Amino acid sequence: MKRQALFVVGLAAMTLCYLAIASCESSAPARGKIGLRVLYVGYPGMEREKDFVGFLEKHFTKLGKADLDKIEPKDAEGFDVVVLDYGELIIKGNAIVSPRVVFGREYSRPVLTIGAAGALVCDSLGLKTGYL
Amino acid sequence: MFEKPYKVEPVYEWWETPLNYRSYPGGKELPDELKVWRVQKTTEKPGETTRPYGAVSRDWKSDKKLDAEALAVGYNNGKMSGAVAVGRQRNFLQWGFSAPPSNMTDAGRKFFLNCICYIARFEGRVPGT
Repeated sequence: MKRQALFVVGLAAMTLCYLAIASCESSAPARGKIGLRVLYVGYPGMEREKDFVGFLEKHFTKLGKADLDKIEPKDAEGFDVVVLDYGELIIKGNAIVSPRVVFGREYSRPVLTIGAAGALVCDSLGLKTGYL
Repeated sequence: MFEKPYKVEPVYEWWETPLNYRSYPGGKELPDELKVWRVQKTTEKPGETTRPYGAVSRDWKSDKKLDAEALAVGYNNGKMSGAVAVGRQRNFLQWGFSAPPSNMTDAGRKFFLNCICYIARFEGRVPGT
């Protein structure tokens, strides 16, 4: 119950960022595309998936896509980065539906998680980027 | 992170300091307004609960020993000033914004692309260490 209450507080809209640190040394995209192989993992057929896929394939040399409900870690072989997109949090009744954790604590490939559901995944992995 | 491969050019605004910030340590010393920039487009007033949502984790500092970096903090009306919107630990980068690219700002889209490039460097680190 306490956890649920904290989620409600945390769901407050976080719409922008105003301070940033760190730097990146990535090289400029050659001939318009970045030389990385990216796997987008989301829900097939959703407008959201089309949005991300259309955008990412314009910018990366290879873009794959996979179904969040079916993917296994081995499916990400051959990709440099996995983009894990659960969409917005799903709430049924008074409970938040916990996202399926596909890539566990032993997974070693780079992963980018998105939004509140992504933060829950980080939380379940014991990462500081988790929700609470 | 804000220069390569895409130069991120935020459009800055001044937003009222959220009341919730005041109740945390150091909150009373914050100015009345904060300089912010939008990563995703919203249609509602600053400071209100808006869609698309986002998520922040509580305020934490970058820590080499933990292989963790706070990359951007997020304006929020639920937690403290300094709550982390974009952060990395080991091979996971958490992007706290939920909008798809078509609903990001131009600066937000570039920042998102740069984040993908950035996390690509961390092959081989695992969460469970």
